[in-house]
Amino acid sequence: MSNVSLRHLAKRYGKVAVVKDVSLEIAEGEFVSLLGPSGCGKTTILRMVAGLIEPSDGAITVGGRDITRLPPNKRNVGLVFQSYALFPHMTVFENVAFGLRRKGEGGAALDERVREALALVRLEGYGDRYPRQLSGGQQQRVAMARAIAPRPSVLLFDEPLSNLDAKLRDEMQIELKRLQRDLNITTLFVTHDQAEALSLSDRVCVMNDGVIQQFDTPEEIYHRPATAFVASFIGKPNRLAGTVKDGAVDLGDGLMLQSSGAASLDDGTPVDVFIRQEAVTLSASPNGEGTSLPGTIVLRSFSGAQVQYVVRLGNRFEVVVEVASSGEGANLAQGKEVFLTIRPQDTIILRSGAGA
Amino acid sequence: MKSLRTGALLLSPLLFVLLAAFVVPLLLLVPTSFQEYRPGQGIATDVWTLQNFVRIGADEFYREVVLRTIGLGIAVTLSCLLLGYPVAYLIVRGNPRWRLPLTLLVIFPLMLNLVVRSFGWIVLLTNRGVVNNLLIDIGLIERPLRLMFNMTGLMIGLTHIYLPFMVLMLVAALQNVPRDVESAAATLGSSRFHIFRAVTLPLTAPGIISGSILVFVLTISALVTPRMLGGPTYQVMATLIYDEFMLLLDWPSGSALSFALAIATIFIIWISSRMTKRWAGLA
Amino acid sequence: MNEQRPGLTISSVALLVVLFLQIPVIVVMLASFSETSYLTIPPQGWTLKWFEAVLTDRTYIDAIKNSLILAVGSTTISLVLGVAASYAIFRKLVPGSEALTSLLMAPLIIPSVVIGVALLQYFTLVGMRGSFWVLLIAHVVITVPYIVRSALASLSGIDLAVEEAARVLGANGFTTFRLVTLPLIKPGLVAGALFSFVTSMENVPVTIFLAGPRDTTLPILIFTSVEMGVNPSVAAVSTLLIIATAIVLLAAERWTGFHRFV
Repeated sequence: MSNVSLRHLAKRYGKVAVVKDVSLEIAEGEFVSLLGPSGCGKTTILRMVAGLIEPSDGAITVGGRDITRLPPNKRNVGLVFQSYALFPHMTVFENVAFGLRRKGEGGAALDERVREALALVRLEGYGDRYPRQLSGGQQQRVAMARAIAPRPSVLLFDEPLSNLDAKLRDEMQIELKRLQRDLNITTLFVTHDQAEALSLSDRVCVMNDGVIQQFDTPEEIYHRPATAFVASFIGKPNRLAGTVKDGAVDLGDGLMLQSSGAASLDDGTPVDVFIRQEAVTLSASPNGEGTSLPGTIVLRSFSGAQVQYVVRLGNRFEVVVEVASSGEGANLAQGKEVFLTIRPQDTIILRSGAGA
Repeated sequence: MKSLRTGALLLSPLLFVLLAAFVVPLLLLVPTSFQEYRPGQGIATDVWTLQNFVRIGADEFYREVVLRTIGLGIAVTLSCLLLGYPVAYLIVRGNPRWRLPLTLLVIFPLMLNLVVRSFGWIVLLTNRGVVNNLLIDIGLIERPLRLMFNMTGLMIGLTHIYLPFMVLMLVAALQNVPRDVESAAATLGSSRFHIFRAVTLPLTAPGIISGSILVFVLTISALVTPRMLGGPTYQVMATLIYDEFMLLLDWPSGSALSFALAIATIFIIWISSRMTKRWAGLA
Repeated sequence: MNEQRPGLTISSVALLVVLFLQIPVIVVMLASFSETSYLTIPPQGWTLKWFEAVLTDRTYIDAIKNSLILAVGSTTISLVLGVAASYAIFRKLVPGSEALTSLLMAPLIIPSVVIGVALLQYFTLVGMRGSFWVLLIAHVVITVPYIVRSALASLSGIDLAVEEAARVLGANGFTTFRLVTLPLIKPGLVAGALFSFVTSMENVPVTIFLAGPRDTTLPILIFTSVEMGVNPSVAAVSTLLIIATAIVLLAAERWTGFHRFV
């Protein structure tokens, strides 16, 4: 049993609290990402689990065993570093064998385990090379093989893909997910890249300022953000401020926006409405479904699969709209008067100041 | 606080050695420097006097030795700079294949025993030495030139001894000058000399300063070469300290002189490190 | 790029200066093989008699032995103490790392002759003057900055995460140091140890105040015998030193790419 539980975990440096009272339950075999901007405390949490930073408060248990005060070498965790941290003076084989040797493994059994780990990351036959003779992606794989070879009860990743170029990163993402699924090791993955977190994880823990904002499945995080921070951090949403009026949102300038969440709020409540760029459709005439708001295109930019428009709405708002470049509304000229159509269920409505 | 205990454990043996065999002995020089030496009787421990320090500036002999030491420091520093810059420039900007052999040839004398190097210069510079013999043989002079036991000998010897330090400092400085900046100056119409004067030289100024400080400090505190090439009569501060402790047994006076020399070097190094920090802040 | 290569004038001046650096070496070597007690150019007659004189002279043999014992001993002690202290300072295991570094480097800044007389007075006061152990400790003091300097520089080149990786993989603090940190700083330490060895081997200003009559080292012997005039056996022993230095320098370059550490 290797479920991981963090209870009221906190880290303070003098008066600065980097992690504030974080509690998290990770099921056995689950892949959880800690997602947030830099300085949100995600790496600190990871390093506390690894034993490289001592918590100021709280407890960490793995499989029911309290490891809070254990030194890193007694924890049986695997950690993949952002810089890979391969031992430059050792061959790939010795790198991977390092953790096994510390457990007293040797002889044929050791050879077999190293070979196995290298096979898992598809680096058979690279054992005699030195890290400097490998490409960035290969070094990354060695770092993974080294972390999984001693069969840790928990795997920890500290932004492991951030040093790779975009194409390699996509490949490694798929590989990493497959590896984790095959090994079924409980995994904590730190990243600031939301796409990475959403696509890899069973559940995502969004953090800001040392506090958990939301801990849920990727779908829930994306479609039903719990706080304004999550709503604005995930995706590239437009944020419109207004007040609730008759079950809709009054944006001023006579613009009324239908929103599914507005009905449950009292009139006059100040709110923020988040609308994702891809949830807006553009058309030359008002469309029946949802709210249609008149606007003017002030900028069009083509980026391959998508076309982005900046549309001015009344006097106060500019809304960014993204449409597929092959679809409808992809060829609207700058300065054209258009209608934006937004379905009530595509709006995310939050009280102003709630959690942001 | 486990780390603090480990740290203390790791540090304490060396700290103990340094305290017992470096810090305390140096501090004990201070009281000695305020005591009085009476010829024939030894050191009077009951009297405290400033005389030993006053003498360094007031006594004509001492003043001459101090001024000579400083003058020697300046002269050696300048000649190391003038001779060292072309070498460093060749090492950094010349054919890369020459870099390693040239560097090794510069380091080699540095690794070689100081006494041996000084001895080499004695063989060259004495009255019946290689240089004088050569000059007499080809008929340029009739009597041997006086090349030792004077400023000339000390300057040649000390320049030779400390030149490698200067070269290595300048090499480091030149390596930090981005070639693109020099190329940029060239595309903007600078001549080679102007590139050197307007770009390379100012950018290597921190290296020039730290190299000069190093050579100057080493020169004013040198004992072996001045003694071997200057003999017992042509004194500098270090050789005078040596004589006062070993021959004259005037420890108070020697302590005062030691104290002055140490304070001077510490002060110069402190000033220069502040200067380099400011330079680093500018860059 | 032709434009930025040094011109002929600068190159010739530079090469002449490099030659100037080798002159005493060449002269000493010629003198040691020369028949006459004063070297002439060209040398008159070749002989090995000065080498024979050196190698059969107990005074020289003892001095060489003393120098080697002192250099090996002080370098070894400096390595152990210096690396331990540097590690504690670098990992900030104790407060005041900057002040501590300055203290460890201080013997490099204080003029050697001042250290020499300070130790002379001190060990006279405590009644240990003339002991070999005093000489050894004094050499540790003057060589340890070279070890500390190279150890700190090498440590700063190591990615901290590499040590953390070893810890997470199950190595305790000492195993991590032995298997990861030490091998990574080894090239720098070899260079530092070489400097330390050379510094001890050539030291006069401290040694001359402390060495008892039986502990005379080679540089002290040369230094004092030169006061008696130029003696070709000094040239012979110097030649031996030159050859030893050249071999050590080339070997160090082979092993560690030594010139990078100077």
